Amino acid sequence: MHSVSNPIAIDLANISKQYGDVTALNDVSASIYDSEFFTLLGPSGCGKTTLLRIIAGFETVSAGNIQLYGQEIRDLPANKRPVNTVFQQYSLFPHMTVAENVSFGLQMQGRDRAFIKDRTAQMLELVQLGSYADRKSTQLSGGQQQRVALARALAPEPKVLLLDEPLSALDLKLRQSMRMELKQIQKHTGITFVFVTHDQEEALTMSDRIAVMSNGQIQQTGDAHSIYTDPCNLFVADFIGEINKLDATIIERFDNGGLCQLGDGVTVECSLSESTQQSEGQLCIRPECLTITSVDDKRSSLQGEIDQFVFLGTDTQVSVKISTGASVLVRVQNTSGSQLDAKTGDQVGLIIDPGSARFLDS
Amino acid sequence: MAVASENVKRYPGFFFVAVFCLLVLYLPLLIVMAYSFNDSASITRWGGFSLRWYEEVFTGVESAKYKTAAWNSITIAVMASITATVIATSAALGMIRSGSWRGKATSFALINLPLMVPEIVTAVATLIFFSAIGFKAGYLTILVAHCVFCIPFAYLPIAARLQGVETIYEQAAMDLYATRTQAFLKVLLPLLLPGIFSGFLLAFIISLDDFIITNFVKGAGVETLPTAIFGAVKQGIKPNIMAISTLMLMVSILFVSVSYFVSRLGESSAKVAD
Repeated sequence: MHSVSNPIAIDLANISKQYGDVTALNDVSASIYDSEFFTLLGPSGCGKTTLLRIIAGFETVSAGNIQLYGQEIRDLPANKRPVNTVFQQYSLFPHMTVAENVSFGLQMQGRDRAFIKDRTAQMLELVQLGSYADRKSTQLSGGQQQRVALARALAPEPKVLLLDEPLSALDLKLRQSMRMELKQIQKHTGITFVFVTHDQEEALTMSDRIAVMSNGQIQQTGDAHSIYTDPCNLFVADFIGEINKLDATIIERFDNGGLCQLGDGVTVECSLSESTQQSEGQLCIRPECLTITSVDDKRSSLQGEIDQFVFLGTDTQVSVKISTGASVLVRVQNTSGSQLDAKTGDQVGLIIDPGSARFLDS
Repeated sequence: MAVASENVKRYPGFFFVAVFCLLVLYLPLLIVMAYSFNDSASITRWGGFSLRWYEEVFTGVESAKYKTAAWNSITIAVMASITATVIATSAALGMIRSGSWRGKATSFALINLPLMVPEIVTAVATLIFFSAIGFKAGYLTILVAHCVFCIPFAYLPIAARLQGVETIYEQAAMDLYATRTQAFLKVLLPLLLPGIFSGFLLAFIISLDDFIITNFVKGAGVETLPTAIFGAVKQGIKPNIMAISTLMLMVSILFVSVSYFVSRLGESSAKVAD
């Protein structure tokens, strides 16, 4: 893990935020490392934007501390914090040109004229808008405006760049190409990025580490792979990607796992997280961790009847009604040559990839 | 969802009513304008085209009186509208950029109430107030009264504009190391300028045009154009009054047009291109 050895850029300690009776953030603690692409991911209303605005200095905290490279910044106003923000809406100053927008922060910092000119040109090159310097910011397209906003926020060399759903106003194609561009710029500049999004795909493709948030709390922090394959609770399992959830009861615990029972005596081996206390919960299996086989295959743990096929291009999604009555989704990759020789109504067995079934408390 | 038959233009008599209303509104103005160019001294009989009444306004026996009145009107309008604009801008910032606080709705009502209070009531009240505190009627009383009643007129376009400027611009400025003052001067004020300009022009016209309050609070011998015209009309309408009225109308039309186009310009510059 390259990032963990780096110094801590932002240290959030026990941050709480109340709006009257509403708790927006409840005792949030996190460490964001230098030079990492850190994403706050969660549904709307989970507190991710509030947390970002607290780091930027637009909101005060009700409790807790924020350190930026070891310096306490909780009581610093936004204009004294060496962090800059790319906003969700287009926030370019409409009465200024592109170059005036990009140089605004440098001018406020009182940098000398020659430096401002060079740095502004350099930033516009970075976002590939070198020839747009003298345009009015209102004459640009949405994607161009967000690139200028990025250049404007990067120009004063912030210690941390905050990005508040900067791609959500763009159309899909543009969003996808901007993801790559953002990631490259982050690598190129080495600046710590804190990125807020509700889009799990965005989070998974760009981030070094992701903090999944809900109800004003961080549920889990980790890299994309560990959050996807090793969710710590049902919310995370459900929010990231697709997952099958089956009612289950733990009937036996081993050193590194357990045996759980589904409805009518079907038992499945599963992994247990350290926090698992109860014996009633959900067995969670990703659709791509299931393989369809013949009903009498000894390796199969579940049996059922094929209910439906949905063609998704690279994959086919098969819905199987298993013997407990629950419905399970299976992802089958559509490789050339191989074709699934099953049809609706067939009795099949399902093989669970070793180690991929996970029991989580409900 | 206007179906053709529901189109108001197709109602029977629409054309007649529309033309009638326009005539009632504008015919008197047109007549005044036309007769200001009348060569005859009559205000009802056309005696050919002439600029003699304009000449008399500027050089005739009463020209000194009108010049003083015009000077009073213009200086008072300039000072009162600038003062009212500054106060109205501060009020708009206080109302719209301050979150929610107790008494906000009341404050809003208090700012705009003068628009609804009958002007004669304000006039009487102002006069009573001035005499109660011993403020001697004259140029200054007119100026103070104009500053006050111009505030709501300046406030409306400024507040409307401020409501349209999102707080994100000020936040972005402060995020980029601008102090509160710099964020206001470099970002918010330029964006507000069209509204401030409209507010100023509206206040200016309202001040220039005011008769009732002015007539109550002015001292003896101090005249503005409207009170001077009223004084002259009492002794019979002469065509030079029409010339003065036409000149004032032109100034008003000019100001209102400029105000309209400036605010239109501002709106389009604040819109985000797609």
